[in-house]
Amino acid sequence: MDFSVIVIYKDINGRKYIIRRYNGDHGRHYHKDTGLWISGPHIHSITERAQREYHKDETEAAETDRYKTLEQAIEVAMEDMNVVFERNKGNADLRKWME
Amino acid sequence: MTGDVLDLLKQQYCSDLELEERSLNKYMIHTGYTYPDGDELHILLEKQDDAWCFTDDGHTMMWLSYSDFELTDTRRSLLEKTLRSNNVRIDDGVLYVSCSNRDYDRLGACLRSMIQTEIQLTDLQYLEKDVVRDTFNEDLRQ
Repeated sequence: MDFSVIVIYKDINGRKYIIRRYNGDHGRHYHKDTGLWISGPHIHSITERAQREYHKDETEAAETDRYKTLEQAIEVAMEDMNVVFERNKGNADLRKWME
Repeated sequence: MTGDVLDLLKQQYCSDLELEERSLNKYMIHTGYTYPDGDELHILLEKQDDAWCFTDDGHTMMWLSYSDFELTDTRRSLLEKTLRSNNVRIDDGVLYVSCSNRDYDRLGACLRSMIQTEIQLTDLQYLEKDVVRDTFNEDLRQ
């Protein structure tokens, strides 16, 4: 299943950085350091090294079995980023994407 | 000696190509080529009506959307030139290269066309706002 759940940090200058990208099973990912392919859902993370050496800040990725569907990936992203709902404070409800 | 190296090259190059069945008449093609973030180019071979067709299922445009990418007139023009020059069709953000029955001897060329298009389209990332702003400022200082 091909999807991406993306967590972005926007700095004071408006520049955006992808902190995490939760990809579905869209195919394989090539790990540049090990020279190995990983398959299935995987999580991209920003690293200082990738910022210095690669085209994409979030080139690093690790295989995961924590989710299979978009809905599960959103839940995992929220858990990893410690995103909690606070009602009546004008916060966006990520669960609207699950309906 | 040259012949041996060529044979070896052909053998190794072709053995990198793998097909993974995804559903009836739909295969994911593993080419070993990647987007700049290490994810493999998303290429599917599927049967539509009576013809085989290569498609990216919209993945390339989704990949471009990861960054601050806006399809302005200039970027759209570059995108259309890339598609035209590679004989690739786009429909609702999905890329297609169709191979009718009489084109089966060109299946390899159709696949190369899809590979080349995806790689060239990802180069549009260098026109995202942050990059353009930085290069513009650098050019201005010179």
